[in-house]
Amino acid sequence: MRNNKMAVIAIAIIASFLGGSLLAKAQPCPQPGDSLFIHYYSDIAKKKVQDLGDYLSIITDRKRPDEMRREAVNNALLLFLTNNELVWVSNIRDTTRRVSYKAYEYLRQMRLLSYEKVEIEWVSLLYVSELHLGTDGNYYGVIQFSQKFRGYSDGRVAYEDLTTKKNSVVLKPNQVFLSGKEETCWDVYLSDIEVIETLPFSDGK
Amino acid sequence: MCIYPTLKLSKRYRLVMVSNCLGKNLSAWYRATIKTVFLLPIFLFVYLIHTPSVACAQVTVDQLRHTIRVKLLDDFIARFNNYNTPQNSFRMILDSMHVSNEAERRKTSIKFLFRRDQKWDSLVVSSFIDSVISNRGSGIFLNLSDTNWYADVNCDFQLDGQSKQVRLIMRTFTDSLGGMKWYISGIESTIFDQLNGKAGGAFIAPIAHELDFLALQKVFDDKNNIISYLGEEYSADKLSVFVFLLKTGRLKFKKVLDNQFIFCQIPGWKFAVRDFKEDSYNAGLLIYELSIR
Repeated sequence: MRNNKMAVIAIAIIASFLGGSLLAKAQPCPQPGDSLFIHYYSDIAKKKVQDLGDYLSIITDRKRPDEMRREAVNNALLLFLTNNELVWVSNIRDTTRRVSYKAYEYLRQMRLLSYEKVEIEWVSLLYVSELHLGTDGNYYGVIQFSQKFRGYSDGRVAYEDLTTKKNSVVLKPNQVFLSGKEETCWDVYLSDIEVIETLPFSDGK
Repeated sequence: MCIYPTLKLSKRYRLVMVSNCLGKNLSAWYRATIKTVFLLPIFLFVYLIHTPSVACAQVTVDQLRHTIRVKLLDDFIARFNNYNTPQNSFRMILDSMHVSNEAERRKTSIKFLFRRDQKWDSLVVSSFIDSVISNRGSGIFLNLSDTNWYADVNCDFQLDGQSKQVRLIMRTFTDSLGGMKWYISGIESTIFDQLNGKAGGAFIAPIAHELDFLALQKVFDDKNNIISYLGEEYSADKLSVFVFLLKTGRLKFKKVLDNQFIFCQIPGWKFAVRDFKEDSYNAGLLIYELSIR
């Protein structure tokens, strides 16, 4: 009896979530000029930046199967506008030297890293810019954030830094059908990533 | 330089740390420049105590430094215009200072956009701020789509394998739908020095045509005087030469070295902004040059 009651409550909760998400899907996409436009798409852009960090953790983890790491590379590339977006990298040993890679080269390099494990941790979100309309009809913005990078070798930390980056994001219009009506929604992609500064990180010690 | 790690701090300890830090970093600025900025430590203290997000345990001097830093040009413009938008990361501090008058808020906001280690004349700075605020009633606002500002981007190129610095003048273009893009409107570099020069006495003789212009052999051997052989209407078009050198592969882009933004929107004034990348309370995109036009 008790089990049945629990099952009913669980189904009710799931149904309310499903109902909520269906309702949310039926909502029209915020359009430029709406007060929600920047907040809505900035949140999606922030999520994409975090997703990239999550994929990088998988790509660089040598304990994971090769197939899974390759899949993560492909999925990470889908976050970018094109495979040729530029990703700048820096190193705490020589902070003046910055090298740029195309997105697909960058992810390939990350897969070949000599660390047995890499942790990429989102430290803080520092700034989200306005979204600016380009002459091509896309919207462009910038997210500034800090990430902690830690590479392990032989079970010990071999390298770590705290890097502040600027990530440009692009919103491309996409025609979709919502409740039988054609609407313009915006797909969010990552574009060039620039390094602003690289600092040593020591957990505040 | 004052750098403090993010620590759990009592209000009293935060005050001591901020005061010490500001004492070291800002004292020179107080003496030299804008008088009203002497209130900075008080503002910051009030901000620390009264801003809920900052007063919580984990948020301390580190976050305050990030908040004050002018992070992007969007941030600079939002502060300069005193916009009440999330892009204006200074408005929290202004709120904590309880300045309700919009003109006063804007004045304070602009004062904090000056780089403190420059030798500012406080009268000139005040006069500039007055021009910004009092002009046309509600004041003058900066906008990315304005046509009277530009970016001066210093780049490293290689010309025939030799490193050369090239300054690109970049401007924004806005179409009728409000879409914007940057474009290269001008170029400066020592590589174009040879395009100009005084016409000397060398010339092509008036009977050159009778000899099937064989004199051209001598003309093109005389490279140093080549301008002498051109008509008076000659004017070097650097951008055309730039495009030619790029297309023929003689000139190759290496990297951007630095850049600055020059604003001329305020009648009678011109100011330059660049990014000061350092850990301090006066970092990021700041005004470092102000001149009367």
